[in-house]
Amino acid sequence: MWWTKYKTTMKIHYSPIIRLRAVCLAALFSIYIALTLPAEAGAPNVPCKRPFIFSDAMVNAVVLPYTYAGSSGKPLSQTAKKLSLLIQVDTLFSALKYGSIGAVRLVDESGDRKCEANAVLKELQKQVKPGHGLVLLWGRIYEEKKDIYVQSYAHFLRGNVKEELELLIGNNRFIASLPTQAFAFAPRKLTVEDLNSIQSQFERSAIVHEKPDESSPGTPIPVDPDFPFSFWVVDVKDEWMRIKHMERHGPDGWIYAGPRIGGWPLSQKLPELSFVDALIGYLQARGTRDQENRKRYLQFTEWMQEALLRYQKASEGAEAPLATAIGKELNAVVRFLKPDRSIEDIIISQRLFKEAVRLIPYSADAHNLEIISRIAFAYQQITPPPPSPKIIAHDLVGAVALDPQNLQILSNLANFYSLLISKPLQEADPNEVLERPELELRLKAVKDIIVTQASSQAP
Amino acid sequence: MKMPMIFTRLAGLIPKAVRNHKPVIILATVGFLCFAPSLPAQMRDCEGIRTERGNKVLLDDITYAAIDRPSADEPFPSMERLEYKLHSNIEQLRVESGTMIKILRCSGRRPQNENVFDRSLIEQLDNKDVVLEIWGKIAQSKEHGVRVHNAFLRYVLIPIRYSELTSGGPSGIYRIEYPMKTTEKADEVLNLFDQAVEMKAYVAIGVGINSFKVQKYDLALKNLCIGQGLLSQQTTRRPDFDPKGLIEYIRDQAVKVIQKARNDSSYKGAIKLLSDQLAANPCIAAEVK
Repeated sequence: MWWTKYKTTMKIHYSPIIRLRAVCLAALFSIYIALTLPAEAGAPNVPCKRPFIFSDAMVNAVVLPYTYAGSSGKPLSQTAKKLSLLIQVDTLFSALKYGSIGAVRLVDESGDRKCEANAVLKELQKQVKPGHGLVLLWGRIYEEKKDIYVQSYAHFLRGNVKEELELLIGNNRFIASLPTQAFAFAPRKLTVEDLNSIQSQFERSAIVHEKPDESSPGTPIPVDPDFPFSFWVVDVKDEWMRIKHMERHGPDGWIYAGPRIGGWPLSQKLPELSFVDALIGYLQARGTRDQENRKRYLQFTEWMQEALLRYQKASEGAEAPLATAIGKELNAVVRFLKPDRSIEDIIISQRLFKEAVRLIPYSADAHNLEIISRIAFAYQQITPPPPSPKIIAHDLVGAVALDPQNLQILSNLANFYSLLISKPLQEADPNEVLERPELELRLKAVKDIIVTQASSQAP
Repeated sequence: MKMPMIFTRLAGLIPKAVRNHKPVIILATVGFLCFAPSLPAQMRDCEGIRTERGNKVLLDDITYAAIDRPSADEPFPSMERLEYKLHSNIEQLRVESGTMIKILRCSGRRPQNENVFDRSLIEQLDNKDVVLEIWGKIAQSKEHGVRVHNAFLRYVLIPIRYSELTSGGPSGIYRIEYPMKTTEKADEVLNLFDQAVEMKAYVAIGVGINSFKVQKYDLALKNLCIGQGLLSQQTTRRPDFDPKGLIEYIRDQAVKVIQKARNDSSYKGAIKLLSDQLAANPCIAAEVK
């Protein structure tokens, strides 16, 4: 395969650091492959029916072609194709700061509509390494005169990993999952003027400089579906990469790969691109586990939170409740998992989980996340008002009603009763306390049901 | 003229005096063809309806009934706007409902009006686990000399429609209508036809009621609560949306699920943990506060 040959070349010629960043730039290679190779060159495209990801990258971001939304199979105009390309390029350049990233743009080369998200996801899931992340982005476009209406969708995952939060309080484990890992964003509208302005801004920002210095002379990277651009990484210095164009004509030099204040221009009009930036940050952060990576974890979560803030600001007045709730939950989760997390982190996380519940109150998982954070908060014995065991138990049972087969919620309920028995809440209002005999009765009832449910749900 | 074989055979049944009178025969043939029951082309079966397992949503054609339909190369924004919105919403439904439902595109299926969803058809659809059928229409009228396209979207929530026809439950047919002047911008109509949340609610309600019918109490309660929560959320976002009757019906059904589960000796699940207070309004946590 051409990409295997590329990786082999990288191993011979580059240091590990350069290899890491070069995986990133391999994304640009994929753009080249996707856009330009004529059939007579003999090299493969990256069609939807044979999707791939860069398996060594910690996170891969894959963008499917945005398609016309109606049923008539009308092809996209050149404007809409440009938008589709800008979305991919924006995603790539936002992701550069994270380091170990692959970005792939897929094409529907045969026009036989193989670029269905489900089918592509099924193929890519086989390629994702355990613990490594994948973000899939796709969308629908509708054009009317000079207006472009866009709706985007996203799906994210980690290989062989469930997206959940696990807390240990005393000897009791509390587990809660994210309500979903796939959702739609609010529909957006752009004009052709917006698009042209964004392209100009991008070309002013994505400059190949003569030296690793933004004041040194440079050439913009062109954004044109008909212009191939592909690079080799030949050197890395701090947040700069030195690139060499693969074609006979093209800019060589240094590009800035660090974070940008305010993000890239298209994300102002399509806030979901900031959300994708945040998803990549989340997956990168969750991928760093040990103390050695503490600094990277904190950096990734900081970038993720900045991206979520940009999403929130740009979305005001046109939110998608489910996507926004998931964003809040991801933010809360990374705070909870922070090395040396502070009381303030717990307080903020709890607030974020509560806000998510307000957005998607029908979700049992959203309630479960909020309640276990409340239990953690209660056992920190932090501030008034005193926690109410009765209310926490009542709310957990309320969550059970929303999903009676949810074993996580049932286990959390049982573990909460066990915890109250072994370690009663000291600061609780005496009127809100559950007495031991009552707790033991309830615990037995829940355990009996868990045994029945577990055996009926066993494969 | 030599009579075709079918008519030759039929001729044996007709008195000789009539058979020999050709104009009568021709008239009778034409009359038969005109008044014979028409093939149910508009309600043709949908591919996959018999073979796909599990709960299904049928997406029918969007049709138009206009006197002067635009020619093929003239822009027809009304149709395109409706198609864009419907397909975007369907994609959102597919993404956010996961594997709970199958969405079947039913090309050529064109309900003439709501009356075709009579008891017989509803029972057939219900037996095939169809929970929701969706179709759209563009009709033309003129207002002060200006051509106006009226866009309609119709949803039939099959289990609710069944209840409506058999036991006087709430209406199972939901309508969105909007007059679109061809000169106006798309924004307002696209907002109005953004029905993704309603679709998710209807599907969840349909799955909930179907689950209840087969004593899957846990699944029934979960989905009824999702439906109730989504509908209650939409009433705060869209002041013109008033599904009060449907919400009350769902609340009532959720209570019945709990009653039946408690009285079913073979049921050993978590519904038994609910207090009497919670059992009186089990989906309360799902509602917007």
